Amino acid sequence: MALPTNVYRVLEAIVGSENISQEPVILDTYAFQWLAETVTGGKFFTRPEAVILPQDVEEVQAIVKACNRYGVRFKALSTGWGPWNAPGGEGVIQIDLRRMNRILDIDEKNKYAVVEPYVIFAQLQVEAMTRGLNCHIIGAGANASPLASCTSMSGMGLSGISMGYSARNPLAVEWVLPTGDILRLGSLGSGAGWFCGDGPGPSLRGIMRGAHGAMGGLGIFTKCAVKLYPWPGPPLMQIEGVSPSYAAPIPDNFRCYVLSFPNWDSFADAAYKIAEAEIGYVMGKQIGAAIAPMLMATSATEYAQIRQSGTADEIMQEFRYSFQLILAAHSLGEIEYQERAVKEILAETGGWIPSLTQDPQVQKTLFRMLIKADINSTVFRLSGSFGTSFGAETSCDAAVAHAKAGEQVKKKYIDRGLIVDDGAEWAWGAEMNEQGRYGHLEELFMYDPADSESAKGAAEFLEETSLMCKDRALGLPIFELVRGGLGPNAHDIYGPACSNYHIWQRKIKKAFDPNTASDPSFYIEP
Amino acid sequence: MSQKEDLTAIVGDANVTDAPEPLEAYSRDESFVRRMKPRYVARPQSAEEVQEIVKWANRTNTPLVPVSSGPPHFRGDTIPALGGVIVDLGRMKRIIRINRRNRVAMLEPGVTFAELQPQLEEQGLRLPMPLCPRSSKSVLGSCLEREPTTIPKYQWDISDPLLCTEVIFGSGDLFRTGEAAGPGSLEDQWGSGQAQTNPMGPFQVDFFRLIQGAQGTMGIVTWASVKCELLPQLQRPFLVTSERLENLLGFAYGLLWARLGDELLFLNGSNLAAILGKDSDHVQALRETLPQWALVFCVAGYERLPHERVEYQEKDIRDIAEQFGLEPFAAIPGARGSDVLEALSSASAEPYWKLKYKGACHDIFFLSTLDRAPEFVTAMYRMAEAAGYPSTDIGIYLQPQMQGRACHCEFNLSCDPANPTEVEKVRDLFVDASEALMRMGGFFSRPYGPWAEMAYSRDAQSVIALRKVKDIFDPNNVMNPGKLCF
Amino acid sequence: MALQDYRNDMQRCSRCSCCKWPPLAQIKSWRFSHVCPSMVWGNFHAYSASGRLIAGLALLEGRIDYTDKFVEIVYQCQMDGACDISCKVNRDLEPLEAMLELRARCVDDGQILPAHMLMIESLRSDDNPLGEPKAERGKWAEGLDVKDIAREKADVLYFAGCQHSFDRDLWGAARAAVTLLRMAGVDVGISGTQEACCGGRAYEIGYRGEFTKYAEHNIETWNAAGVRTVVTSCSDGYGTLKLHYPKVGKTMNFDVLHITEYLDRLITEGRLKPTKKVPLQVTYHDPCHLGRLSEPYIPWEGVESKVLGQVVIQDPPKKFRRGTNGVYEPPRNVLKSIPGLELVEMERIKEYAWCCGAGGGVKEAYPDFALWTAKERLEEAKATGAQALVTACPWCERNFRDALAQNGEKMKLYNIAELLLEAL
Repeated sequence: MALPTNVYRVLEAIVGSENISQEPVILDTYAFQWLAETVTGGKFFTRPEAVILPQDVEEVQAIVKACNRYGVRFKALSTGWGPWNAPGGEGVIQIDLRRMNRILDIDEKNKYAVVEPYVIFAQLQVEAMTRGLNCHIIGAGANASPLASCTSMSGMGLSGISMGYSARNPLAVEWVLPTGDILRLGSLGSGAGWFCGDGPGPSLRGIMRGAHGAMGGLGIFTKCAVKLYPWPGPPLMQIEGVSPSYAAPIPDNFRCYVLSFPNWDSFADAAYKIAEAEIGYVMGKQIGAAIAPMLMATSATEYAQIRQSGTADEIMQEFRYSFQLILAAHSLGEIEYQERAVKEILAETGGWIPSLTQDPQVQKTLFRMLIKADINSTVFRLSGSFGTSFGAETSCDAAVAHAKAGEQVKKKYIDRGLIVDDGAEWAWGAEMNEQGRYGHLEELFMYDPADSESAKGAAEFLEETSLMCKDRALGLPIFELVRGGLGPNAHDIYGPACSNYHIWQRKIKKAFDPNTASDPSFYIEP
Repeated sequence: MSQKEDLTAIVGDANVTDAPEPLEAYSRDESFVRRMKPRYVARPQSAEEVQEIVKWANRTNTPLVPVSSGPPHFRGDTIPALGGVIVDLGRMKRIIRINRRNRVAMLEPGVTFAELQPQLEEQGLRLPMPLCPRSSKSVLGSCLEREPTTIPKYQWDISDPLLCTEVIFGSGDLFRTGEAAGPGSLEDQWGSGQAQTNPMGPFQVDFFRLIQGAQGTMGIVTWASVKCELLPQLQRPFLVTSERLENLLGFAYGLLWARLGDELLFLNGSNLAAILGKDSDHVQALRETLPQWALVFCVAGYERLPHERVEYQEKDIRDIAEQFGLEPFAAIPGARGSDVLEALSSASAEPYWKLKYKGACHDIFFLSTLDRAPEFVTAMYRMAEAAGYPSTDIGIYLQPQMQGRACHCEFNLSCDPANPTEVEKVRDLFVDASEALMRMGGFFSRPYGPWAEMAYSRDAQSVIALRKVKDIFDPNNVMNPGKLCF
Repeated sequence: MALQDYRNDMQRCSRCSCCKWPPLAQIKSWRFSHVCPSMVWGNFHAYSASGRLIAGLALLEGRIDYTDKFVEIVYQCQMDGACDISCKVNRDLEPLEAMLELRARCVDDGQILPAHMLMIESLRSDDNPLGEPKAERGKWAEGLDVKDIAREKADVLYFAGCQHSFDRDLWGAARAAVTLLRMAGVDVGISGTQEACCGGRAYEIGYRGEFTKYAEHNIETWNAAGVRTVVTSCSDGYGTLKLHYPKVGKTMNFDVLHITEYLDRLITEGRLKPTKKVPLQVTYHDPCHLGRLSEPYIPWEGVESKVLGQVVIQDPPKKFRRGTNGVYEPPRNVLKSIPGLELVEMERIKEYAWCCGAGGGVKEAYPDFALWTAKERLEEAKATGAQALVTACPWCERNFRDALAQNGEKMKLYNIAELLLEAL
């Protein structure tokens, strides 16, 4: 269904001819997405009707109003990594927020920054660090957008122990509703500034998102105040070494560990104790058994050689029930206290520090990885792509239950040769958000998107694990993957098991988007 | 059947009343909000009874006003603007579960702080509290109101310490918010290690945020899980004082940045006196002794290395204080830190501390950022003087929130309720000052009474959106109509 | 390899957008946090390396056909390789190689930009892509009295390259280079008017045939001349000789050095002794072809296979070029050897340096884009507080000069050889 010429002209008049396109080559670069092959069998979702690049909230509003007027659907994206960014069907225009890329303000004292959609975590972090501050960075990595994460996506990341989860990090937000009206949340709407996203009265942040965001299904977010957190490190981190083994010297008031445990139970005990001791700056299971050999390799081929030679067996065992931990202190007294706490906890739980990770160079590399959150696309290195499963945010004990369940399912797919043999263990997470309140363990798996059998296997795995969560009360899985696994009816499958939330969510969609102008494919079909 | 009969059929004869005395008591409170009598007071004991009441209210188009705390009430939110039925949740007093490992408690609306804290202490836990709540204050009610708590480092989100809830929406539907929604029953979830510690969702809506701050206009919460913390094994409270508020701000920001200390709040001399004083005379005497401003904070050690923790924190705090030319003291003339800490750690003794000085008190509170507090203080003093209200009678409480990202600014205007002139003066000052502070940028995020119209007239889009929410969850507008923008 | 040989890489692109930024750990500020000029200029995702991989896949799958926009997307890119470096921090893909194949495919299918056609015609008629008469080629060396290797044997051939040969503003750099070599007692000769283009630009814009012709000619000529070393001041040329020449399969009986490598060596050996103070604060621009694109060619011929279920490996193992073995320290050593000179670094340096804007046929086909790219780099240079920008490539220098002239900027610009000469 081509976009009518008159509609194109209206949109063109808003942004200028150089900022809108219907060229197929451009459109296809938005239809192409990671995980597409698990849904469509190929690399492309439906091609958008056009791609448009607004530069400010006024243009965004004008575009959205035009879409409502002419019955066109839209889906906004910023960095656009993942299938939830692509059009959910015919007749959708993509609103690429690339030109809205500024950090508008950093309030050092009150610890927040105001950002536009195309600011990425890496940019925000370096600017924040010059002011003694840092930002939570999600598992997808520093190349993702804090605004998108806070308003529209999920938000788990290993900095969660000290910096929360993205859903809990927005303050005030500027929001172009699906109707084109502009809603400013909290203190912003009352003309009082950016410091609070809730009120007056009930908080409309509750409509904006829940554990996961609307992923383009409830309008467009054009500015967001994002919480910043203390950074007692240098204003600019020095980076040494050469790609891919960049490393960062560890300041005196920091420590970087890998802590290993004999089994899941002692892993969980230690995680709880770390959280309760109120230590931990970055924490979680970033590098599991499967990826540990990458610490000794610079390519997939080298990784395979190490695995097949058996030289990685020990390290894989050591990383199986391990988490990485960075301590950060504001004083010598504090770091000494934290170190003592870690020692005690290891002794109490039978944990140890693997010898490989006692190497200063390895520590510096890990330190860089965990603070800069820049290795996350490494999960694509071995086979070309990865997927994930389970991953509900919940207590650590429940998350461990998810990991155990994941391992069981995975074995079957490994035995069939459909996914990478990672030892049937690659639970990622355990980030103990907000000093241990909730966290998750998602079971990652690696597959080859260029291999149709492997891609089909990935789709099967997603579906099986998604249904397991519902049937065995293993929490609600990371939704965006569920959508890929269970398709557009995912809500109708889950809802009855979860207080019929889908009925309410559908009402919200109808109320706030009467014309279904905002692509509902990753939110809820009305 | 009559309405009374209907209600009696749900909650039992002993739990419905239309006697004059209780109706009179619910028709007004300590605020300036217009009086209105309810028709009945019903006291359910279970979620099932609550649900039946709400369904009945929908069938009969009867307003409902949920009340969790006991009197006296101060905000006007429990006065039934359009009459109807007071749903008094005071009988729902179960502490359903305390889970030490996940530091969480699950409780019903009728549980007070005084009832909860000892139970938590037995398990080595505590719940961050608002400032000296009255003894009848409901824990769940306080959480739903987004009352600030005195330990900013534990408040990661303005919604803390509220986690999951079970709610009967105004539509009569039962719903569980957060991870409590499912899959599985609560028992199933406990069986797999869940503890209802994730308030988000389910999925793409944070339902709990729509109930919190709603003044009972969206539904009735029948239980909530709340985030608890470790009970300190060692505590060392301190006071840092100054005649000028500005002198204390940099130091406070320093503590907040370095995540030092637990309790951290500002009280002016009037309020410190009101909290510590035994009676009106004592309060007056203390006001003359105490400094203009006190920053109160407490260093704590928990189960692990408590002494070491307190030691390094105290040293670090003193180092920061020195940078600002300040010194923390365990006691100052008129006040000992330990007495302040004791007051902060429990509900207020009777009489409620705000009422000690003159018998009545009207609070103006809003959110801003700590660095703007001096401006608001100066403005408030000026307006008080202009109104002929002695600024020395103004109690001031500044509470950093969300780990220091916002600040609850509170002005307490004491008055003699038996003195109509004084009451009138305070009423006018209350309204005028509220408007002025709002114009200055004070964010009245909890719009009680007259603040509702003031706040919502500034934010039309929020009103439109909230009304959509209201239409979804309470389509017949039975839940506390006439409040907020509904 | 052909375009379809990169199909797996195209399918394995995850659209993570890392190709738009420096390696994430190397980002130092918001202002200078981009690494892909094409993406900043073009804004649509298609203008990134990922976008071009996707475009290539769409073409292979028959989803799209050639259009003006398609060709623009392919060619509005300096082929500077920064995207390739960033991608390879975490992936085993070859974005730059795939983009080069896409260009070759365009040319094979007749999808040619007029500006590039002019370059090729000039090459064919006058052995240079600049539209200059071949007879003028040797003029830059007049008065230097340097050996002509066609007539006399020399140990070392100084290869001036097209830009140094014909751009009068840049003769100083070539003359300084030769002067320095001779001061150090190096037995150096030149080819003068007989010199021909290295063919590098032709390779970059997709004309493999033209490139091969020049590569074979030059290798044969230099072998025949018996030179032991070929040294050049042109980074484009250097990169072409190191990376692309080995692909034609002819033995090169000579070493290839960039002038900065040679000068660094001469200084270390004490054959050049900078003693005069040059009191200046400078910053240094890493030319793409001297840095990340000069890593020597690593021949690989093998197959892809799978082990451990779905781990994709190359058999035999393939070494990935990640830009870290480029020529970064020698120019810095040369600068540090100059008394009184202070070097301050820009934020984007070495393997993740921002391009000058001139390469990949952009200077010719999209001059505004080329100049804009240079201006971005000049802003970054200014932000260091340095008084001068130093570079080691005539294409960079030309583009910077043009940008400075357009801006009316006062920043000083030096070629590294000229600067060193001041210290002797």
